[in-house]
Amino acid sequence: MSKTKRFLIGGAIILAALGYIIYGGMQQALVYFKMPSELRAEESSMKGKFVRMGGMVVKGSMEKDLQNLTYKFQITDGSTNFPVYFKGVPPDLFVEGKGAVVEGRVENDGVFHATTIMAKHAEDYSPHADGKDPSKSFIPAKEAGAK
Amino acid sequence: MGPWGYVALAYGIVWGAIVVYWFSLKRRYRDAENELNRLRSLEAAPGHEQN
Amino acid sequence: MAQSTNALKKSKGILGALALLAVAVGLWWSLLVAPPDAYQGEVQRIMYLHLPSILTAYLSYFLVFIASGMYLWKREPKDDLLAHAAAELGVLFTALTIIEGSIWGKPTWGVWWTWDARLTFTAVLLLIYAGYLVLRASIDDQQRAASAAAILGIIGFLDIPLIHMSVYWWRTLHQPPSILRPDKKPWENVHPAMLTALTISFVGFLLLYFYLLSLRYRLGEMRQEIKALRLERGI
Repeated sequence: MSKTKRFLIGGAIILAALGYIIYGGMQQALVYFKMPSELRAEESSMKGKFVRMGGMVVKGSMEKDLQNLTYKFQITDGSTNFPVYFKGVPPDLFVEGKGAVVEGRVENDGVFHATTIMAKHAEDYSPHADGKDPSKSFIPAKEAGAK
Repeated sequence: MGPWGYVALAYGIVWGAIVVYWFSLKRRYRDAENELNRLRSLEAAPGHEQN
Repeated sequence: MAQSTNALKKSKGILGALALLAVAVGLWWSLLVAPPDAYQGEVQRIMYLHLPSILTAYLSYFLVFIASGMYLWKREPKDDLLAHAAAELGVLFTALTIIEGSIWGKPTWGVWWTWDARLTFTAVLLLIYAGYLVLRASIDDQQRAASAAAILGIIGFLDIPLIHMSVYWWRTLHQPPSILRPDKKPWENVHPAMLTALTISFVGFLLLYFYLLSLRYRLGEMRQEIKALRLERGI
């Protein structure tokens, strides 16, 4: 009996975890990040709320202050460039011209204040840097096809 | 942690876990084998059919 | 009978030795021969664990799926034993996949974990089959346990196409497949030297998997024989 009870508790924990993921997390997972143009369009309603934004880091937009560990750059989806401010240590693969997802809030200054930077990379693997375009897989095939 | 540190961590955990699973599986296997042999010898003792 | 058992043991030993050899060659290629990736550097070597692990897990759940269907159809205990053995190994390799991905994610993405669709559905996969093992253990009646598990084993399998397609259907942090895609040849995405390391590593995982599966299946068989003998002798 106590064995059964133990397993019932184990089962309940697993079910609760599944329920949490499916009802809580899934909504978030399916729209994992917003594109800069989408966020700009919803800016007034999204202001101050936690949100993720993904796109390419605009070439030439990066202003690093390595002394204070602050980064200013822009993220683009091709139509809108969104300014981002970040203080901290970004991942090594976070560089201009590549994909990134930032987490944080749009503040009253219209700038995205990021608390986390995540670097996205492509599905290519090679010892040679040439002939690779890490950006090409950034937009899901379904949406890219629709555009 | 440097890049090789992450590599070592991943390879260490994965092969460590597989070896631990393998040893525990072998132990469970041996226990079952011993129990089965014990039960079979008990069964054979009264002297009727043996397959 | 003793002879066939010996032959079986011998073939298991050979399979185990082959697995060990392939794993050793795979490690050598993965860690020493294959070149580091131009962008990710040495950390990319975790891929030689990550991809073989998840493919092995998928294969294992495919076996659960088939064996569960066979069990519901024919009601033969051996199918149930296979499903149970494969589910246990599936959980092991799924857990390893998530750990490897996490250790790889920290230096490349910058985070150990994030709730994008691919990662979320993979976590769901682990929970479903962990639940499968708990479900089996919590029902005493063997046939009822087998039937309930078979249904869960079949439904749970549906999560795998969801995981695979998640990177196409939704925006994710995880990149699209490098190998498992019909539109491109594997070597268009992965440099040949890396592809070789990946292939050898995968062969090692597969041989090891079938070795472990044969042990785990036989364990289930013996446990069933023990149960039957105990019942017969009233112990």
